[in-house]
Amino acid sequence: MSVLYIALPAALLLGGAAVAAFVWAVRSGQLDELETPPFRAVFEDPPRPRE
Amino acid sequence: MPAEFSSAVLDAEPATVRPGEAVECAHCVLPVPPGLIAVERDRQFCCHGCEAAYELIHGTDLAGYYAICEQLDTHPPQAVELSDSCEEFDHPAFIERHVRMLPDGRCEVRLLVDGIHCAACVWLLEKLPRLLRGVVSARVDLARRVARVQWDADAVSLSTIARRLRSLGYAARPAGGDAESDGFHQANRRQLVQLAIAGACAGNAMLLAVAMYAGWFSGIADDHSRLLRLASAVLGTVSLLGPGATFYRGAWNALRTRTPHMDISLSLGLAAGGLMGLVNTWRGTGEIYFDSLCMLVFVLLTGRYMQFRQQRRAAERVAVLRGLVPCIASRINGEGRVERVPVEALVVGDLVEVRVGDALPADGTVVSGTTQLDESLLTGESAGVRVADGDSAPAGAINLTAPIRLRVVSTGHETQVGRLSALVEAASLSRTPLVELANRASGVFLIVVLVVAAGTLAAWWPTGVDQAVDHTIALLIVACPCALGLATPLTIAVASGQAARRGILIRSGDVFELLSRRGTIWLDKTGTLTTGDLSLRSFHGDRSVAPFVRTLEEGIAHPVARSLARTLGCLTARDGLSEPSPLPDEFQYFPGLGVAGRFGDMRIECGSRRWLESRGADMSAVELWLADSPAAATTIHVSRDGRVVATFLLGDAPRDEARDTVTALQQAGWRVGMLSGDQSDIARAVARDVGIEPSRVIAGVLPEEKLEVIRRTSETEQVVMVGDGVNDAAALAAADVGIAVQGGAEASLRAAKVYLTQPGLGSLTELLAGSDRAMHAIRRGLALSFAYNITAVTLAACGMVTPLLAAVLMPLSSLSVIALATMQRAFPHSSTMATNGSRP
Repeated sequence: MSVLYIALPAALLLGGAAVAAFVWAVRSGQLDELETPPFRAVFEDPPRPRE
Repeated sequence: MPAEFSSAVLDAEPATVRPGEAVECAHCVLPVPPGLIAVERDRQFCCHGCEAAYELIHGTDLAGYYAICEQLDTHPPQAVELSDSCEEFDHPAFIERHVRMLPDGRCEVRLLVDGIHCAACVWLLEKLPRLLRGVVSARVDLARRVARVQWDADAVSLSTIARRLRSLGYAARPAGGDAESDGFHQANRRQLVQLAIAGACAGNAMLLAVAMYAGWFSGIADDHSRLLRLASAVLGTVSLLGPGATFYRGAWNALRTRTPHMDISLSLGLAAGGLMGLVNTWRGTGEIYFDSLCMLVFVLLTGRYMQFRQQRRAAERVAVLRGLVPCIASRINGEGRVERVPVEALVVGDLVEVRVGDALPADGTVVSGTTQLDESLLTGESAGVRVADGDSAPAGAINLTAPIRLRVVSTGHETQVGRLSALVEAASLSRTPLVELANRASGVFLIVVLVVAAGTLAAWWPTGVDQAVDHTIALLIVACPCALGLATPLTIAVASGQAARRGILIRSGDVFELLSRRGTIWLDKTGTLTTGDLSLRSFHGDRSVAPFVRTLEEGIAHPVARSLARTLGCLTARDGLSEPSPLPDEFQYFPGLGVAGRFGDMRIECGSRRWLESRGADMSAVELWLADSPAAATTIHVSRDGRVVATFLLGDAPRDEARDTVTALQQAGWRVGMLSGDQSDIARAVARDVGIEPSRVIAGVLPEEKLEVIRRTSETEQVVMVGDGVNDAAALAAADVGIAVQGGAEASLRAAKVYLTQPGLGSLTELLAGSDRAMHAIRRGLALSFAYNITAVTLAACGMVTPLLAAVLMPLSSLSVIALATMQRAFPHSSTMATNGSRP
C-alpha cells in the first residue's frame, strides 16, 4: 500500500497542473468572451469558389 | 460547412424579373422600387449603395456572406450611398479620446457598429483586412456589437475604414467605455481563477474524505490515515487562504460598517474549522473538516460568480444601446466652411449646422433658419416644437423640417441632457438601500447560530474541552449558510436567465422581491402606452382620393407627411386601391402648411384647415366628421377642385396590447396610473382608450415633476415606473423598480433596473407574473434550507453530528437547493425566441 505515498502526491500534482493550465487560459483572455468565438470557429476558413 | 455556404450562392439562378411581381434587392432583400428595376440586368438593387456593397463583396471573393445570411434566415443591413466623408474620425480630439496606439506602431479603436446582429455580420466584418488594405485585424464581439479594429495609420485612415463599413451598411461610432470593459474583464478573470482553485481543492478534498470515511468503517493503517489527513490539510489551507480570503474581506467590511452579513458567520466558521483542523492534523487525532470547508468555499463562490455574470450581462447589453447626443457635429469654421468634428471638440460660441433628421449636438441658440424640433425625448411632448432665430434649442432634440445653424451655449455635461443624467445618477444613489432577502435572513440566522454555538460550547464544557470544541465546530460548519446563501442568488440567477431569453433584462437582484409586492405602477404615455409614432387614427370622406394623397405626401420629408404616406399605403392596400396614382403633372410644397398637386385636370390639395380656407376651399363637410373624432390629433384635410372631400386624423395610437396589459395589471392588484409630459387632453384621451382611471392621470409634467410624483408616491407604497424617454430617466431611477421599454433612450436604460427588449407591453405582464413565480421558488428554497438548518443545528447541539452524518447532510442540502432553483420555471420557455434577443 505504500504506493499511496507516490500516487497521492502525483495525483495532486496533476490536478495542480490542470488548474495552472486553466489559470493560464483565463489570464490570456480566452474566457473573456464566450459568444462570438463559436461562430468564428465555424467560419474561419474562407470559402473557396467552386470552379 | 463553408463550402456549402459558398456554393449555395454561386449556383443560384439570377433573379428573373416578371412584371407585377415584387422584386427583392440582391443585397439587402428589401423590395426594389418599381422605378429602379432594370429588366435587362441579372440582379436588381434597391439603391446604388446596395449595388456598390454587392460588387465590393463579390469582388473580394466574400460571396459566402450571402449564403450565411440565407442559412441564418437574416439579411444584410441596407447599404447607404456614400455622402459622408466621415472626416470626424480623423479629428485630433477624436483620436485622442478613442484611439489607442499599440506598441508596434499600429492603432486600435473600438467601434460600436449598429448593424451587427448575426453571425454573418461577424464573418464579413472580420474579413475587413481583405476589403480594405491597411486594416490589420478586425475582431467582432457579437453580444456587444463592438468591433475592435487594428490598422496601420500610414496605409489607411480611420475615416476610410468608417466609410468602408458604412458602404457595407454598417454605421460605426466610437464604443467608449474602454475602462469599464477592462474593469469587467479583470474582475471576471480574478473570479474565474478563484473558482478554479476552489473547485480543484473541493473536488480533491472530497475524494480524500471518501477514502477516510471508508477507513473509518473498515479500518485504515495509521500512517495512511495520517497521509490522507495531511493532504486534506494542504488542500484546505490552499482553499481557505486563497479563494476563501474573499469572505474574510467581506466580513471585515461588514464589521467596519456594523451591518450583520453572512460573511461574518462564514468567516468565523471557516477560520475556526480551519484552525481546529490544522491542530487536529498536527496532533493526529480528532476531526478535520477540510472537505466540508473546501466545498463550502467553492459552492459560495459559484453563487457569487453567477450573480456577478448576470448583473454584468444585463448592464453590457444596455451599455451598447444608442446614445442620445450624436458623437459628430458639423461646425462652421472661420472661413464659413462646414467641417465635421467630434462633439468633444465643440466649445461655447462655436457655430454648428444641424441637418434635417439629425440630433442637436449641444445646447444652443438658433442663429439662422426656422424649423420644427422633436424634443419628445426631453419633454415627452409628441408634437414638434417650432423654433426660429434667437430661440434656444436643447441638445438631443431632433431637427425635423429645415436645416438650422446654432450658436453653442453649453456642451457635454453642461447641457440640459447632461444635467438630466446627473439628476438620474443622484436619484440612483439616493435610492433607499434595500437589504436583499437572503442577507436579511442570514443576519438573523447569524445571531441565532452564534447564540446556539455559545450555548453548545457551555453545555458540553463539563464533559471535556475537546468534545465541547468539536461539537461547536461541527455545529458552525453543519449549520451551513451554504443552502441559505445559495438558495436566493441561485433562484434569482436562474429566473433572470430565463427572463433574459424572453427579452427581459434584469439588472438588480431585488427586482423579483419588489415586484411580488403590490403598489402603484406609473406608465409613461409616449412610446410606452403608445407606439410613439404618428399614424392614421381615423379617416372620413371619399376614399378614392387616398392614392393621390399618398403620392403627394411621399414627395415630402416632413414627419407628418411621412407617417401619413406610410399608413395610407396600408389602408389603400386593404381597400384594393394599392395601385399608386400617376405622378402629378404639377407639384407644389408649402413648407409647414400643405402640399398641392395637379393630376390631369384634377387639383388635389392637402394641408391644415387654416391653409385650405385661405386658399378658398369649401370646408362645409368637415364639421360633421370632426364631431366624433378622438381628441388630440393632427388633422389633415384634402380638397379636390376647391371642395374638401376627405379628412385624415393622425395621432399617436395606443399600442394594440395596451388595454389588455392595463386590465391585467389592475386584476393582479396593481393601481395603474399614467404620468405624461404631454398635454393633458391628449393624455386623458389615451388613458380613456386604455382603461386608466382619469383620477390617476397626471399630465403636462416636467421630468423634475415626474420625479416628485414618484418620490411622493413611494413614501407610502411600492412604486413601479415604466417609461422610455430621457424625461423618465430620473423617475425610473427613483422608483422602487424602474422598467425601461424597448426603443428607449440610453439614459433611461441606465437608470432602470429592468429593460424590456421586446417591443410592446406584453413583456411587462410576463415580468410581473414571472416575479411572483420566482418569489415562490425563492421562498420554497429558503424554507427548505431553514428546515435543514434547524434540524442540523439541533443535532449538532446535542452532539449527534458524526463525521458521516455531516458528510451526508452537507451535499444533500446543497443539491436539493440547487435542484429546486434550477427546476423552477418563472419564465416559461418559448420556441419563438431566437438567440438574438438583444437585437434592437
